[in-house]
Amino acid sequence: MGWEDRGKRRYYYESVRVEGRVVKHYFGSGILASLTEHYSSEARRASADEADAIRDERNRLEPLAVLMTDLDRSCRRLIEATLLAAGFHLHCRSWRKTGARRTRRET
Amino acid sequence: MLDEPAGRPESPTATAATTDLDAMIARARAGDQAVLPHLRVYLDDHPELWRVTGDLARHVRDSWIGVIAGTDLIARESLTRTTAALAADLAGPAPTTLEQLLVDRVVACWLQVHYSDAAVAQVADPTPRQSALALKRQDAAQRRYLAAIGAFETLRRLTRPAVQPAVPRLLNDASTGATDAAATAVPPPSPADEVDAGDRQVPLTVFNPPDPPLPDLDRYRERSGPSPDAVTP
Repeated sequence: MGWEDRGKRRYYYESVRVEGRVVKHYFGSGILASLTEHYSSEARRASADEADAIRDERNRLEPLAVLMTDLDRSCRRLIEATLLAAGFHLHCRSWRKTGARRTRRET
Repeated sequence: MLDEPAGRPESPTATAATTDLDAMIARARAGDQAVLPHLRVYLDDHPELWRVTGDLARHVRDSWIGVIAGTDLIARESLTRTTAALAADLAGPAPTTLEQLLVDRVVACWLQVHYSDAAVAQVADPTPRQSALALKRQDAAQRRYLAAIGAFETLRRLTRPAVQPAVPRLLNDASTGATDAAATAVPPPSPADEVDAGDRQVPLTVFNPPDPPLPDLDRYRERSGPSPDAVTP
């Protein structure tokens, strides 16, 4: 992509991918070519800045996300162990006292 | 930035204890009642399980404070105090180890939610992709926060006896016409009343006010005369 020499003159081309194929667009050598080059480079720079910002934020938060996931898993395990040990069981995502219904019927 | 780039590695003892615990939980989930006494003893005998997770929770909380405050020491101190006060409020007077752990988790999630909210608001000149990512992160933080609160509340509800407010019944007893606060105070529930948790009958203090007296219809009829519909024999 960019300026290409053809004989004594330079012409501006841009390559884009269309349906899996690379297609070259021709913009000539005049003011249109200069403007297109200017806006394309601006767009590329903005896109790179955005990607950098997203990557920085992700790098900053990734370790914390891992820690939070570990903490969630550990807490879930301890809650489950504690409630199971206390005589509860999980039924349809809600904790119930094991054998309570039988006890109630007997009483 | 974070003080440590990755999670704190667990000690081999704690890792082994976690593996054993997972096996016991799996057996208990499958309905093996025989494992429950062992599970109780195991939880008591392995404090490293609680210690490791407690350290992790505090580490996460401190890391979030570090990320939010950055190099601003005043903000760091302020956040440390705020989170300590929040944790104390949530934990109450005598929290169990697991309750304290869950409180630390709630506080960590609270910090994450606030960070995500601020990130959504403060991204300078965001692109649509950046905004979408920030909103997604905010959503996830909110969900995690609510889940942490829910877990804490569930544990409290199931493992602690229901609080009985010592509120005397200050209603006029229609039969005696007297206000008897001491005699009508609702007694605490007996342990036999405690039934299962899923469809648990929460012992509430139910007030049954006496029915209001019916209007004196005879006097009303005397005053307004006979009803035109009345049939005289």
